[in-house]
Amino acid sequence: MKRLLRAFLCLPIASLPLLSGCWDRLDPENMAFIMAVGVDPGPSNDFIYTFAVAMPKSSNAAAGGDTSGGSDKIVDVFSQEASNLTAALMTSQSYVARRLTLIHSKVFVLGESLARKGIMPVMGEVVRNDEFRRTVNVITTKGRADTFIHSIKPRMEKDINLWFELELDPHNIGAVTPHHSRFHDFIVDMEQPGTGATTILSAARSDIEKGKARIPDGSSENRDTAQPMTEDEYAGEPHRSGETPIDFFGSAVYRGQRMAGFLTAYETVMLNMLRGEFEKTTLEFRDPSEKKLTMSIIMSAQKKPDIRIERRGDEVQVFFKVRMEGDLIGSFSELDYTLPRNQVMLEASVEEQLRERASKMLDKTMHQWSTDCFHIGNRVRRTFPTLKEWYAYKWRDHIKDAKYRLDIRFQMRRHGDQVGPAVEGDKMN
Amino acid sequence: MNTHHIGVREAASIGIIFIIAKIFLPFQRSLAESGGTAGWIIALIAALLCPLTWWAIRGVLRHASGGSTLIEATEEIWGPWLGTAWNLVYFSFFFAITFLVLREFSELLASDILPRTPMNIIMIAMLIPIAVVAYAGLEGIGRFCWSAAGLIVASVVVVLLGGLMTHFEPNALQPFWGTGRTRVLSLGLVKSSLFSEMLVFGFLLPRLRKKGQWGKAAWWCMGVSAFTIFITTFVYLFVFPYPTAVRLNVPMFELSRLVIFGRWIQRLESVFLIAWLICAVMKLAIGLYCSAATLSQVMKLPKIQPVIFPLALLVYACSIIPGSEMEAVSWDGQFLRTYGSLVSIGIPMLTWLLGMIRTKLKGRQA
Repeated sequence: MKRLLRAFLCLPIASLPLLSGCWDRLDPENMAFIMAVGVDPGPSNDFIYTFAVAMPKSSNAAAGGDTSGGSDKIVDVFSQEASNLTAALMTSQSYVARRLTLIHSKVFVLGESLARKGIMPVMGEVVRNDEFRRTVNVITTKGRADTFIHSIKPRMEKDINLWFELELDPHNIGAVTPHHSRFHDFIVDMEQPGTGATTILSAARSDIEKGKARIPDGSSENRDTAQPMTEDEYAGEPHRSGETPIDFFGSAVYRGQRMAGFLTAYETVMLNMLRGEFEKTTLEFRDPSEKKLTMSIIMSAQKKPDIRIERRGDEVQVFFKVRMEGDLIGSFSELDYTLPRNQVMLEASVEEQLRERASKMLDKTMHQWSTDCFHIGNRVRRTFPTLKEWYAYKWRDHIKDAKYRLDIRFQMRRHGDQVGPAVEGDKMN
Repeated sequence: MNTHHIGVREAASIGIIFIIAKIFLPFQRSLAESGGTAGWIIALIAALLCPLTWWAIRGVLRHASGGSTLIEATEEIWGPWLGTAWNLVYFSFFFAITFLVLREFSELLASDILPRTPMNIIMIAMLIPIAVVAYAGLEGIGRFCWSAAGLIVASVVVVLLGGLMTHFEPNALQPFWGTGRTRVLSLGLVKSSLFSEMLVFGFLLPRLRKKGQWGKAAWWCMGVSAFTIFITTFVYLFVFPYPTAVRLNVPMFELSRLVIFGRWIQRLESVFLIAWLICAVMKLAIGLYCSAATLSQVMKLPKIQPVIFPLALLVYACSIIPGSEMEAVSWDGQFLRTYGSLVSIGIPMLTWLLGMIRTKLKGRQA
């Protein structure tokens, strides 16, 4: 009897693994993996969702067979007007044969006009979706999101997943975008009073896509013109031609749910520096011996910045103590910066330039836009005993009046592979 | 060799899994809702109060005849009528834990893992192994829990570390008193019911080989579960700072989805899900076993097994009573985790007190 009972019990247990395939089984061959979702405002108080779906490989190509004759497109793009993402996906399913899924999505792209109008309705809806992950990167694009999605045409990389992974990794692209731009960081910042959420800033480059981008040549060269600093530009502005017609350059800053403005690549690096998220990168500085020339230094943070706040009544003062170091890697100067006297001059100049740039960026975000991108509010919160008192304080109203002090120090560590500048033979004494 | 006995490790593991399985449910969110940034203080106070249940159970068992379970001891001390009434309260408590947790876990699976699978299939698929494990008895449950406890605790530790390394807000626990000092402290007392599952020791202690092992098993269980409950709340608040913390459906699951270390280490939730499902099944099996044991002892049945399958059917029937996931979660929060300590601390304390009085009176008469 006992044996019979055991055998009877074994039957349903053995059948359990089979149950998992009944309803939720979905073969990868039947799925359409959405890699990027773009959102723009729609015509009737709704939205236009644009999807970039990874192009499936043909079964022949996947098996290592002949791929000739096939399209070289790596994403399939389509747009759908709908009041929300779920509705857009459902409607799109009527003309997309494979089952659309967000489980492998990499980026969520916000169009500029939507970002300026307010994004909370979109974010609030998306965050509920069980397929959508908080690790997805958020991008704000200049212009429309659908233009951005249509411009996803990497030239070198044919693996769309890898292309996104590499392009969205700040460490990989020179740290010119916010260190954290994932959906989780973005929405957590947005939910904090006064905190300014930031995203990667990007721009589609139709001039590059059409082959019309021209870099002026040096025929009208003016020797007295100060060399420009590339990092002082916003996405869409760098003078270039060729390769992918998309720039990931700088950041977009939000004031609550509305975008307040853009930061250049350099300002973004300063933002990362003050936030304690500085990634080792190359920065351009004005040469102290010749202001119109630039010099490049590989910068890294000696340690995390020390951010201290003091609150007296309603008045808040912030102290940033930043310690940086770097290797001189590019210089036009004829001055030998390896000599102690010149090294001191260089260090003082770099400190001054960093201070000036950081100060401008703080003024722009805190005093001009009234937004706190540095999580100062999280520190100010410490000075209140309960949440009720903290929320009653209205940090947003006090950001503008907050004062800051910068204590930035820089130390030159190395000087590249050469000691002293290269000197033309005829000028040798 | 003593048969039908369990060791310290098995007893402690049963207690640990029975208590900590709730970390995979929305309990961290409910603490954040109650205490805001001070949700961790509520967990800490609840953890500090959990020895009360242990002392009360030990006291009750010491004032009853040797080898009695909590149910038998309660009846012996209070007499058949009142004793049965209290035991039915114990039964209702274990039974409510079982059917509510079954519903909550099934809802978790339905909303995040198996969205197209019908709820009743998920519930039945969980109920069958639960009934089989409960049927195997306390020894089987104990051995299974002992072998699974390490895996479960390790998976929790990995997820917590991964979450912290992915996102960390250093000032997340400020303001210190969150929603207010009085509220936080009083809720800490109320939420001592987070450890109400300690009542399982009422069945475990008589099954230990020596009385000297009681304390060892109980303190191990309290230590590990208090640490797990506290640390998951603590870390959750750092990774999902308030007010984000009050908006997530299943905190630990979201935490596991957040873990990302470059291209190769991400989307780890499916790995952890295996350990967590084992934990859920074990918790439900312990709940079903305790319900069946209470009922059979109330009904003076010589064996527990005949009650298991009918009770499993009742668990299924009751678990579909809540109209929605929110209702199931609110029953758990508003009833079990609010009044639970009346059952797990209040009744055993009263019984212990009465037991002491009875023993003193008997001593005087003698």
